[in-house]
Amino acid sequence: MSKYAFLFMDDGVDYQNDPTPEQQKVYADIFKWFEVNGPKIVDGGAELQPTRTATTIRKSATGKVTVIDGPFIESKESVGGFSIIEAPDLDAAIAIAKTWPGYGIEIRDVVEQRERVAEV
Amino acid sequence: MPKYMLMFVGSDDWYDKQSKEELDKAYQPIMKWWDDLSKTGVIKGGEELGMQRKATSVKRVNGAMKVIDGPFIESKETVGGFALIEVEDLDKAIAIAKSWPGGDVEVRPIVDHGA
Amino acid sequence: MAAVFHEEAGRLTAALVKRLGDFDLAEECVQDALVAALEHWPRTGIPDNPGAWLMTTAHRKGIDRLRRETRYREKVAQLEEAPMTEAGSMPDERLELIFTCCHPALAREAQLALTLRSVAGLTTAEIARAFLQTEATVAQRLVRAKRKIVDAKIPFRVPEGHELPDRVGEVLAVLYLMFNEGYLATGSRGAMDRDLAAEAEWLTSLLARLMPDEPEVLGLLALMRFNLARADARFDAEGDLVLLRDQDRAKWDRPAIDETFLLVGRYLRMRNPGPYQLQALIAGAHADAKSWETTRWPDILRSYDALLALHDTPVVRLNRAIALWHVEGPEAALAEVDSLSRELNAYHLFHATRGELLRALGRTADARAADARALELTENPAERALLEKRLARRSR
Repeated sequence: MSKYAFLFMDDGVDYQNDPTPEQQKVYADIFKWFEVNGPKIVDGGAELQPTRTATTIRKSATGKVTVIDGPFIESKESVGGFSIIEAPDLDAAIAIAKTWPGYGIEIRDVVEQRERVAEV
Repeated sequence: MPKYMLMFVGSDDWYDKQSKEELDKAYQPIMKWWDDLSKTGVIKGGEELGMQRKATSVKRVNGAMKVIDGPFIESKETVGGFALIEVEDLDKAIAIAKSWPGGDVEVRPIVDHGA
Repeated sequence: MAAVFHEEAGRLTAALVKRLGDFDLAEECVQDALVAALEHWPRTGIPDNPGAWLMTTAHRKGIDRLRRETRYREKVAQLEEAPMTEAGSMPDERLELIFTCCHPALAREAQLALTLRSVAGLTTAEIARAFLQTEATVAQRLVRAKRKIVDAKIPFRVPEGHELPDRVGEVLAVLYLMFNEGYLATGSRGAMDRDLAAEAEWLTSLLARLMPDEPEVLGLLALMRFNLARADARFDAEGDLVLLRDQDRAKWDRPAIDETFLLVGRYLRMRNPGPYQLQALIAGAHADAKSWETTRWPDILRSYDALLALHDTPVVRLNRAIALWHVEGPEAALAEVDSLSRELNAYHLFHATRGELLRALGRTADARAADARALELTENPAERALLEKRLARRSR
């Protein structure tokens, strides 16, 4: 069994806390998805608020630290949440991700401490 | 108390350029940061993520989920890791983000479903 | 009424933010109260205690608003419980408000608009006019900023000791930008919009009252006041820009200049130099001189050297070069200016300064070219008129 990080992707539409009926259905399906896949989720993680609530700490080459309004990357699509799931292998993780009712998921490996030391 | 997600910005390029010794050296302050912060109890979760180019994505295209070999968005910088913290307010979250020994950090409040 | 709004709007917003714990809601209640005042006071006259009138009204409007929106149910109870009898004894929490409006997690334009709105009591329309933007754009910007304060939980407080220097710096940067927008405005509004500069001075003056021991705040206030004291001499009868060296110093506000030197004395005694304090010393040296020729250039050069030690930027070096010109001659100054060409090539004042130095060295053709380049790079109508005049003169 391996751990995989699911980065739930947002399509960039801000419903301003006022979702349409279609979006409400998606939310309901997402709720069910978490219930159904509960056993495979080792860390529920969190749902993130939209990028307009983000603040980025930037470091210059000289080490100067600046606080900036906004996400670290300006793009229509962004990360809307994280969870950590456990699956036998990547194919199994992909199969689970394909059942996600939302816009999309980026699946990343999770780096375990011991891997770094053993790395060749 | 509110929770914030800290997203640590990284790039595959940076990893590629490091020797094994340089990588171990770079990780020392990072591992200390995790240790010290864990003792304060503000950390509620977090992971380091693998290289962006090794990612696999699924994306909804015309209603169906399509599998993509690679990251969701092609970009020089990506989320290299994250930490979920629980603190009083944004100023406290920013202070913790500023103490990160690595590169840039994005601070985003989470949706509190418990409320 | 504008003066009353100035004084009371900020106080009121701050008090409500504290009480309600919701910046957005507090702001809406204050706006409701100001609108009500605009409707009633022209008929009934300004009340003896305008602050109390506004507070009572904001309170009542607040309860109405909360009843309409179910998500605020608990807050209704909070408001109804709170005693409303502190008429006239509202604690001044405007310092918390200023730091919140100028929080670094907000974009600079949001900081500007929010400070003008919440602390100075300007309407959306007034802010839009000041920055040559549409009302809709400014309204959107304010909505986004207030939502971010609520959603990301930007706290309503004066920063703690160790955070204070950076945070004060952020507030001063906002106020300085506001002043420059008004004093040197770009675009087609006109050569100088003194109202925005006056707002910036008012806000900085308020900040100085609330933080009397912060030397950089006093420094920025002095800098603004020295500049404002010269305002009447900046334009001639045709409305064209007059350079400092050509200004009629009889038109300078001498009493204001003398009073500002008292401010300089205050911050010098704190022995904690900083960039704004040094820039004010430079402005003061000019304000003190009876003529361009008798200006104490070595003193100004020394101030620039001290400024560079704290804040080494190409623009500071450029301004220092003018002082260098008067102390060491145009060749030394031109060499210094030319060394900045990579960084400042897109800056119109870089080329305008080069033009002046080249002219002083008798290199007329090169001076023309530099002035022409400066003209290409600025949209400010007053500066354009000046450069056009300069170029037209030499072609005769």
